[in-house]
Amino acid sequence: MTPDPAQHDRHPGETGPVMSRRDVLRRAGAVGAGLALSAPAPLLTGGCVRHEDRYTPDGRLILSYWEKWTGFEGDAAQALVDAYNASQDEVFVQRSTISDIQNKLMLATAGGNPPDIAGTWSWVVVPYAEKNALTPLDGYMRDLGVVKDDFVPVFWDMCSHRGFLWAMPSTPASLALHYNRALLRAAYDEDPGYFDRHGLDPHAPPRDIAGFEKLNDLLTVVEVRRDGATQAVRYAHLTEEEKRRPDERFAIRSMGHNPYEPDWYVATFWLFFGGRVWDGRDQVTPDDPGLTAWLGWIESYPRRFGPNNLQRFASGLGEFGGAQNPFMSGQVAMQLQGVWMYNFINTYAPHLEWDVQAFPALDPEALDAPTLVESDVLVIPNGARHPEQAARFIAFAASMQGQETLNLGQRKFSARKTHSDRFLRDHPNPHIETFIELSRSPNARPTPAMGIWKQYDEELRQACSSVYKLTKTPEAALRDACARAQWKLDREQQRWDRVGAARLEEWREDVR
Amino acid sequence: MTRKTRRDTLTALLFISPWLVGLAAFTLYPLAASLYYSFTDFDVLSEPVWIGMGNYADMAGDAVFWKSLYNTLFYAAFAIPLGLVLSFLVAVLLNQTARGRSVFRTLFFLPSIVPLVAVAMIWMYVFNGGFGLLNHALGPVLIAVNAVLGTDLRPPNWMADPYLTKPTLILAGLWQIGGTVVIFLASLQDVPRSLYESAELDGAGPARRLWHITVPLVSPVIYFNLIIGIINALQFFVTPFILMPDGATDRSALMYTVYLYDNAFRYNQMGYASAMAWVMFLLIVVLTWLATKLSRRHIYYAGA
Repeated sequence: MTPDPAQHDRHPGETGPVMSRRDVLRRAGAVGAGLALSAPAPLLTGGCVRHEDRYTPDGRLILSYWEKWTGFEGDAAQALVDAYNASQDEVFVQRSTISDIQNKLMLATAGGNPPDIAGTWSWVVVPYAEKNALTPLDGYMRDLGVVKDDFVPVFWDMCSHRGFLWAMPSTPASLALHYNRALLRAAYDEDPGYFDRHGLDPHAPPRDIAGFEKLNDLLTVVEVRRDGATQAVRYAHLTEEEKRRPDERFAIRSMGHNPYEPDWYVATFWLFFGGRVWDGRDQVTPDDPGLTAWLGWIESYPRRFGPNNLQRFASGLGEFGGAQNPFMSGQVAMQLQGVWMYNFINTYAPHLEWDVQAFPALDPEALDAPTLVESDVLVIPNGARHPEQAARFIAFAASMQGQETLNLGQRKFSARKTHSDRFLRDHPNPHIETFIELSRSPNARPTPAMGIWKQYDEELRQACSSVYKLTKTPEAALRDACARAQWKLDREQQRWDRVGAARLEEWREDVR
Repeated sequence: MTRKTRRDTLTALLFISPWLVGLAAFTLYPLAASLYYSFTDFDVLSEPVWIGMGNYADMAGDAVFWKSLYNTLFYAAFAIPLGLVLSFLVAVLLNQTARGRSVFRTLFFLPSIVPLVAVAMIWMYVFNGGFGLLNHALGPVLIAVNAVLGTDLRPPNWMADPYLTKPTLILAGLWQIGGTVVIFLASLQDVPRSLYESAELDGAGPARRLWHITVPLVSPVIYFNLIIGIINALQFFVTPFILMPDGATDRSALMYTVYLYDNAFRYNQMGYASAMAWVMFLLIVVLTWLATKLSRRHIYYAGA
């Protein structure tokens, strides 16, 4: 038996509890272990623990509201929150500005501790609803008297999926062609005959793609070597020989239009060609003539102006949010933009002569006033602690007062069918009525209601990129993009087949 | 095991328990969870659904998966040897007795402590096809070449031309060799001076001394840096993610880790991303084993 060294360490006559070095170490180890075991516990469970409800000193329940806006847009959101907080004394909505809200919302929802209300985008509705990450609003909105008839149909519809309502629009938007009137006038002054020959209007771009591209050719200015010197010449005035090998014969100085400036909507221009990307059920549509026409149009740019020229031109352009913005600085005369563009023009180029109209269509007779509509939306994430109270705030935001407070502040327009006289009178954007009209057009289209839309969009972007750099033909690029999209759609469909029935039943229970 | 040994073992385990808990919670659990998720259809927001080898089967038919793997291996095939050779040569130079040596050492190490995102932003300006610094420098050279040869060469579009996107990333990756240089430098200082003096007396020139003395004696460090290089190259993420987030034209620069990230956090396909992570893990294991097997005969351990 091994003698205990502690016995030897003990002095004669010493009484009471004496700890050996080993005891000290052992106890210290035990304490350390206890701390180590307990310390990470809040870390590990923090995302899952349901915190206690919080109240203001005067006893109002605090609702957490995550929103992405900053600056004047954040101020407008705060004005909405303040108005709601002043309108009742039961809850207090606390707005937090969250960057990268998409990922954070996903992780918070997955962790079971989401905010009560979140501001996100309309394209999020379908994939998140499909993944059971949102709370259906039908029952709440019905009880609060919020009805579809009060809203522009396209905005209500983009918040619905599989027969349930998942969100309410907060700040809607439609897209329109923005054009620089001074550049149009200068082109007319220089060559009025060109306008006559091609039937162009010197005051506004044509409504059809073919005429639009004729105008683009005249508005595009290139630098070409002639007689030993570099000259600035309109593309339309180049000789056929000069046009034959664009990358070698000239460089681009400014353009009338470029689908990649900005590149946000390059993969959704198909809607102006009457294209359809899927059948609305389970098949993508690689043979759709509108899609082929759209990519053919994209291909016409590098064919005319040269793929390398276009790359060099793009890499020399300034940032979107600044005075060097290509549209505001006159480097691009026409571009597809949303209702928000006014805010940037007003800040960085207040003297710009600009106007807006519907983006041209391949066949304007068949497709009058086409536009892409989208909206920021308010949702209640699945697992939110106070859905009833959150729904009341969302209903307030969807009311005429809420919509106009928010959208006048952000210089957008209301998602409701009607607005007050004051709204249009006080609205600073001189073209706001064009955007409102476009949103009511029968050809106003939201992004496709597909759970995989972001991935499909990415594939279509790749197709555009390959065509724009002339590394693939439009047909091949479209075939590749659609094959991948179909693969992803099939995967999603398989998943829905596994969980769909149970999910629909759960949602029906929720809205009862 | 005696009672005392058991007690001692328990005490020791208690002392290292903070680390054990950390390892279990933040390494072993995520590892095990990702292995499980790799066999499921898991979109993060709802419960994972078991699909067996479904993700792995999908991967086999996913052209973008293979493209990203090819891009990454292409990058590794050039970046690893170039990085090793360059950092070794720089270390040899910095090991020479010269004035301002410590200043040079600092300068070469400096890029390694600059945040990767900041470095990537700088590369964006360097490689910009329109007003980039590199093309600005190349411009006059190409004008001269064109004048002499009658050609029409123009500065390339580094980040858009599918033939140049991967070389661009390789060039950008070579910038941060400071860490490897420091490790080489430490090992070079351990090479006994007497060996160089003997070789010099025998008439060996600088190149032969480098090849016959320096290289064998630092071979364990070369091997170490090779393994680290393989791991780093296969996990190359920040620079391509910032410079070419969509993988550039035809996904010519889409790296494996960027595609993995896209699946996990942009497409919410965590099950598929987990399967990709395990394939990457197996690939690193195989390549490390291969490097160990192939280089075993060429590594000289002085103390062994």
